[in-house]
Amino acid sequence: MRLTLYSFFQTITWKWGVSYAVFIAAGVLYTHLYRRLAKRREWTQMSLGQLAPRVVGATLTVALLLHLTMDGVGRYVLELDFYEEVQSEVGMLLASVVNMWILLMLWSLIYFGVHYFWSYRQAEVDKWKLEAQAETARLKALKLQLNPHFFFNSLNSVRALIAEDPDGAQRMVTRLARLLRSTLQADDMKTVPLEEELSTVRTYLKLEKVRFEDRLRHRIEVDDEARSHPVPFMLVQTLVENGIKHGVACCQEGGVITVRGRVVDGALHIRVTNPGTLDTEEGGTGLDNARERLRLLFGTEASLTVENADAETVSATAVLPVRAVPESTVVQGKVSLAARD
Amino acid sequence: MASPPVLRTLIVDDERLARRELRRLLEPHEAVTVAGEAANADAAEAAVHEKNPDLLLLDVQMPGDSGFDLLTRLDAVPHVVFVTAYDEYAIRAFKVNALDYLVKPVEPERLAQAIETVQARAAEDGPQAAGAGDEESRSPLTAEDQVFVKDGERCWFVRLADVRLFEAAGNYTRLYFDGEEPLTHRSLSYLEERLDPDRFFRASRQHILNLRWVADVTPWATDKLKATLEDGTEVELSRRRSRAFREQLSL
Repeated sequence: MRLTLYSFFQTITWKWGVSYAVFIAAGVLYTHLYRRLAKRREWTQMSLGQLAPRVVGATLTVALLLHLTMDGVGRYVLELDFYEEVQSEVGMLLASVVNMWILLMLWSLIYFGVHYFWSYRQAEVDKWKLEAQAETARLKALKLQLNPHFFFNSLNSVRALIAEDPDGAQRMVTRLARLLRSTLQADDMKTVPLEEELSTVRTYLKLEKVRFEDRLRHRIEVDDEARSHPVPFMLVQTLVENGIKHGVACCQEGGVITVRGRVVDGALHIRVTNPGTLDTEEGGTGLDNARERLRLLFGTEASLTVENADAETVSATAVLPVRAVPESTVVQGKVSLAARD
Repeated sequence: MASPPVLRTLIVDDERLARRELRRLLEPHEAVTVAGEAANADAAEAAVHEKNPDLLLLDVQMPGDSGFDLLTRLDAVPHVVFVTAYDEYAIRAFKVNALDYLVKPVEPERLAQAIETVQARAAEDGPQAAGAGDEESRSPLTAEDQVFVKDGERCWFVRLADVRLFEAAGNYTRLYFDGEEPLTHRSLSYLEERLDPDRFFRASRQHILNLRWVADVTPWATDKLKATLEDGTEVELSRRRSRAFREQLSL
């Protein structure tokens, strides 16, 4: 650094020219190595506390190396007469290193500053993207829960019933409203006593019965001791809906849907059967959702399996360990994840 | 002027209430009479053969075969207006292929529009198509009949008059019309049996020609003829069929 400051107004001899070239080349080389190190060790990902000492250390090293290079070249290779005038070797070293260090620190500040700014913006963008994705997923899930095909068909039935059976039409509108309300309120973390869930299921079955008439038959058999057990809201409804889709709507003669609830070895078993055979892991998103909610609410001991019960029957069985959900959540109808963790 | 043709309509829907609702919605339309109802594709197929309706109001989702399946099973199809509650896949198909469709619950205005559209088309087709008083369901397919062709996601209602060439492709047949060339699952021999022989001519093992589309016929090899269609396609006639062609022409 001193070289540059002192020599600026001097006549530039070839030696000075060479020393400048060496300075620039060494500067480029060392800072390049510094940048490579920072990149390889991912310094841009570090917190300020981690980064600061590393930057200070690295820039000091580079400044020192740069000084030593210039000093060596100036003194021994080019044999500059400048060194004869030097009063204090230590003073020159300090001044030179500090000068270059300040420059390097400035450079680092800009370099990491830009990186920080850029990654901050990237993080913002990612956050928005994630939020948008979550929103889309939520909308999709809602649409799935709403089951538009069912609702529009039901509305169509209501329209027909208004002329044929006005009382029936009125009942149907009330039931539709009730089911729609339940669907919209279906919080992922909500549990209700099985009895209450069964009441939703009966409402749903009555609506489907208007559409399918004699083609839909059902049987609900639930042990008394099972009725008060908490279940994820709309779980049984999802299973029944699935059963109707694959076991009744598809077949001209329709079929019987059965719902069976029992307590076995301290666990609640809910079994929904429908006619038909399971070719693949059918059901898709609705069942996957139900499974995920079961896991979140009741832990890994809970399960939901869909299988061929016999040649003509498909059964969906949910097993819910009874102890897992604290009493309070049933009363409140909600359980917070944080409380469970 | 003759009054617009009355459309004899078949309602196809698996739900009784839905059929009833459509029937009720059709009541104010004097141009439409309900010829019958069917609750599934099989019943609908039988009813089409028996009653020969001019219009199908067709639900897409039914137990067993779908509305689309029904149409591909029929040789000649009447005018069709699809009806669906909410079926994203079907609605996309309707839009992609510009098919007439109604959503449930059906709006009376939209139904009126759909009926008008069909009436206009029926009037174009001429009186022959409407109420042919079918005594036998196996009567030949005339040029005015339309068939339903579904190839992958795309489908067409195509008037046989517009098909210039049928080409065998294994057990399937490729239809050439309006720049399209989809495959149907019918064999060429089956089509030969069903098509009106005065209009559609079996040129060889490979081809059936629509005679109205033939621009030119020239001899090209010993005893053989070659037909050039209006779009420039050249079709060779087999030796035996060349003879038959000459005979038919001399009549």
